Amino acid sequence: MPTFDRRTVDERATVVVIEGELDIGSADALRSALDAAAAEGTAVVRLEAAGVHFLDSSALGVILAAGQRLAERGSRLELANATPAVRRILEMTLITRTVHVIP
Amino acid sequence: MSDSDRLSVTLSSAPGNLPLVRHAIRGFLDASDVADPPAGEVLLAVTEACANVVQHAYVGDPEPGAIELEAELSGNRLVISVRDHGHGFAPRLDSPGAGLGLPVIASLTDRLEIRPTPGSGTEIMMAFALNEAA
Repeated sequence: MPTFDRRTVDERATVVVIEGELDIGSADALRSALDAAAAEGTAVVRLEAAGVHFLDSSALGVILAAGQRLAERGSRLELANATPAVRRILEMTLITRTVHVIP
Repeated sequence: MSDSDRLSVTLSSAPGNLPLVRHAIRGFLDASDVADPPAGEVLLAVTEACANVVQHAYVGDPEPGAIELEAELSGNRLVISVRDHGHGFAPRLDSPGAGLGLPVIASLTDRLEIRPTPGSGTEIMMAFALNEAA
C-alpha cells in the first residue's frame, strides 16, 4: 500500500509526500490524505510525487476532485516531481487546468 | 509456443488485488525475450481494464467475483484479455472512477475489443505492438 506523509511547511503550503502505486485499491486512502491536507486550510496543497511509480485513472479522479474542491475556495493543488508513469496519464488525459504540474 | 509465451491468472476482483495483477504482468514481460517492452503502457491498460471489473462487473453481488487474465506473446504482438463473469459495464451514477478508463485503454493499445463472454460477463481484449525479439 502507498504511504502518505503530510507536512505543513509554512502558513502557505501543505505538502503530502506520496510513495507507492496509486490505483482503485488505494483511492480511499488517497482521498483521506488529500482531505486531511485540505483541512489544514493553506493556500497551496502540494503533492510530492517523486515516489509515485504508478497512477491510474481512478486515483487521478481523486486528485482531480480534490483540486476542484481546493479551487472552489481559492486554493491550489500542485503536483511536483511527477515520474514518467504519472506524466503519462496526465498528458494522455490533458489534465493540467485543475492540477498545476511542477517540474 | 512455450509456457513463457503465455500467462493465465485468475484472482478475486477485490480492489486490493490490482498490484498483484501488475506484479504478474511485470514478471511475464521480464521473463520474455521481448526487447524493451512497453511495460508502462501495458500495466496502465491492464489496470484500467481490471478496475472496470472492480467497479462495474459484480455490483450488487455479496462477494467480489473473479477476474481472469490471459496474456499471450506471438511474434511482435502481445495480446492480453481481461474477463469477468459479471453483469456488464453499465454506467454507475455512484461510480468512484473518473470515467477515463476505456479512453485511456484505447489510447494505449493498438487494438481494443470489448465483447460479452459466453454465459455472462465481459471480455476486454487489448493488443500491443512490440519491437522485434532481441
